[in-house]
Amino acid sequence: MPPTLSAAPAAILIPLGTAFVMPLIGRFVRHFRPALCIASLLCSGVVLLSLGDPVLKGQTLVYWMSSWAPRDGLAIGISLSVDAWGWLIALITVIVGLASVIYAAGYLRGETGHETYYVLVMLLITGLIGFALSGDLFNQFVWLEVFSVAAFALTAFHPEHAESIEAAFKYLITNSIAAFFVAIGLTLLYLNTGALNLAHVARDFKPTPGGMIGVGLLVGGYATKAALVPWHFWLPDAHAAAPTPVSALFSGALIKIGLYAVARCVFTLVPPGHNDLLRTALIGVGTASIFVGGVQMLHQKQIKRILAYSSVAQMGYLIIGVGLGSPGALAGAALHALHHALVKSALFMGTGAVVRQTDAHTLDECGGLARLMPITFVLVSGGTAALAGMPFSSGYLGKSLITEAAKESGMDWLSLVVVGAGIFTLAGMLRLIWRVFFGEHRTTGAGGAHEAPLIMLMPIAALMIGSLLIGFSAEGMTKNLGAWAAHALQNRDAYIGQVMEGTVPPESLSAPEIHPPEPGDISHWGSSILILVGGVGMAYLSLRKPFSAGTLPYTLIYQARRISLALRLWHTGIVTDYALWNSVGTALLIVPLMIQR
Amino acid sequence: MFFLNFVAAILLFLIGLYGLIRARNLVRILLNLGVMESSTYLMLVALGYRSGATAPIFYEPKIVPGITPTVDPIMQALALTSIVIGVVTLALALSLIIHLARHYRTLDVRRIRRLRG
Repeated sequence: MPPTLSAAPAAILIPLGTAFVMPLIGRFVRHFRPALCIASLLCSGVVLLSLGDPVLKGQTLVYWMSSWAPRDGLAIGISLSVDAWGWLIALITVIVGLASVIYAAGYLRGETGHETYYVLVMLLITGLIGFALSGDLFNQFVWLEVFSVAAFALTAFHPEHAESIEAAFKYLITNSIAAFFVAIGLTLLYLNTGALNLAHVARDFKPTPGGMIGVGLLVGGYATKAALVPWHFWLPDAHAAAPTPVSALFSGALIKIGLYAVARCVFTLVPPGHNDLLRTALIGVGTASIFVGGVQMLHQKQIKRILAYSSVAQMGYLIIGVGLGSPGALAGAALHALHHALVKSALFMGTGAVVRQTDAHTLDECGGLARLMPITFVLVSGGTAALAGMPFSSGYLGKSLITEAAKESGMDWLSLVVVGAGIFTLAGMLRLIWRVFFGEHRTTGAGGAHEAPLIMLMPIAALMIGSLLIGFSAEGMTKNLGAWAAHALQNRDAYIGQVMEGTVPPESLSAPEIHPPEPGDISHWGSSILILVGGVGMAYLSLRKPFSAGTLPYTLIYQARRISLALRLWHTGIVTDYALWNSVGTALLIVPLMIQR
Repeated sequence: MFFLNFVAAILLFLIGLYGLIRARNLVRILLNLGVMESSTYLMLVALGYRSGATAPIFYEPKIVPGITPTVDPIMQALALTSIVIGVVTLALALSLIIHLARHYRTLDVRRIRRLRG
């Protein structure tokens, strides 16, 4: 067994060990708790990077717990199966986790409950890494529960705020139902194949009604984690109510795990030829997510809720990439996941710095902060440009890859959806920036605000620099990272063969050829210019004083407001309604699977 | 026998889901969640059950691997794990309900909706 193989569990064990050791030695290391977390995450990151070389050559590294390797083609043991797709998501978790812990060291200053906070955060990160590396369906379910419970508790970190408790309760109920869907789904898959190892299940999967319902329940359950419409209701509440470093982790890493699992189910579990309709359904889900998230962004009052709804829209974007399923689209989805993790956590941290420094939670309470918090202003503006997919930012890369793939698949209308997503994102973010950083101070708190401490600005700046680096090395990132992630998802037989037999078929070790457009190539800037013009226009319309009644723009905006009001009323705030939509969405997902059996 | 258990588990799951969606009281939501949870246990245990089989304790001389029919221990292990997970979620949810009752002075789910829209 090569040394890199046996290192895989260390990536999980180091943060898990930190979480358990912290309460024991906590009172002796009171001021070094963040340092301890940072050190353990760095170790975990180094372990992951040491696995990077074989993984990014198309191999799947398999580690069998207690050496229970498969015998006679039966996999009874639990495996860690690390391929490029899971590895990338685990790496994203570590990066966002590091930034979040450094930020928390500044953010939590002057608050109590540090020990609980760091223990829960380390458990959350452990669960996410474990889920991404695990190759066993039930093991994944256990990791899912580990990070979910940590996330519920972190959402309710401020029990004195009614909103945190309310958000945590809604989060708990909706995601528990999702977990039951996953549990029933994997039981049905066991009934179908007599196995729980992902590769074994995929090998023996028979497209019977039971098996297909099982896959549908799994996808529905994981879609709740990925916060796709109509499973998204928990997300804005939880993201807005959690402490800011935790919101960054949720948006950066936790919902990416949902995307990871959905893609795994669609490509690895379901045999090729049976998943086309499901993928089309996912494109529909993605379009709905973009629309709902985008429109909801435009009338939110709370600062962090705007960013949360933007996450819903961006997840829709990613799931469209998965739904298209061509190598280019999958590479685009993988790179866009990395981009969104970096930029959205940076934005959450930036606006969180505003919230912390001014104690203002809604747009109406801030204003005129550009002069008082110039660095935060620059960072948030840069993040907005990247999020909208401007050239030379990381967002441009994923956007152009997904658009190209849509054109190749003959779905040209999807480029319109992509441009629409950019317009909504830019408009919502410009509205936020305008109301927060320009104009007059509206509260006394905002008037006396000053720049956030360096320890909070550093991780934001680091994430933004990372985003820029990705944007400038588009060709290299696509060739060395995106293409291999797409390769890992598409080569189902290679995955099964490497986990079950341990052999590497040589033909499986070549990445698909994907050519991203050069960011400097002006002929591809058309969509970005459209987004810029549309986004600025829409932001202007949402900020200017109302048109006089009877004119054409007034009538148009009035009609648009009615749609947005209907969407707003859909988010009733009653958790049982959310449970209903959760079940309806999952039931609807089973339909395409049953038709194309 | 397995089929009967299976149908019962699915019915139980749907009853729990229906009850949860119709529930108005927070504690009742949790009870329905418990019903859904029990259905997954029933499903797991029923799946591992073999009629007339014994426990797979292979150091007992009377039980020979591959000859004596034994039940599937994996499913029972999974059921145990699920029960532990269920307890954790239940405990957390109950503590959240206590806090909610303090803040909102009600357990009616229709009146705990400060976060909406």
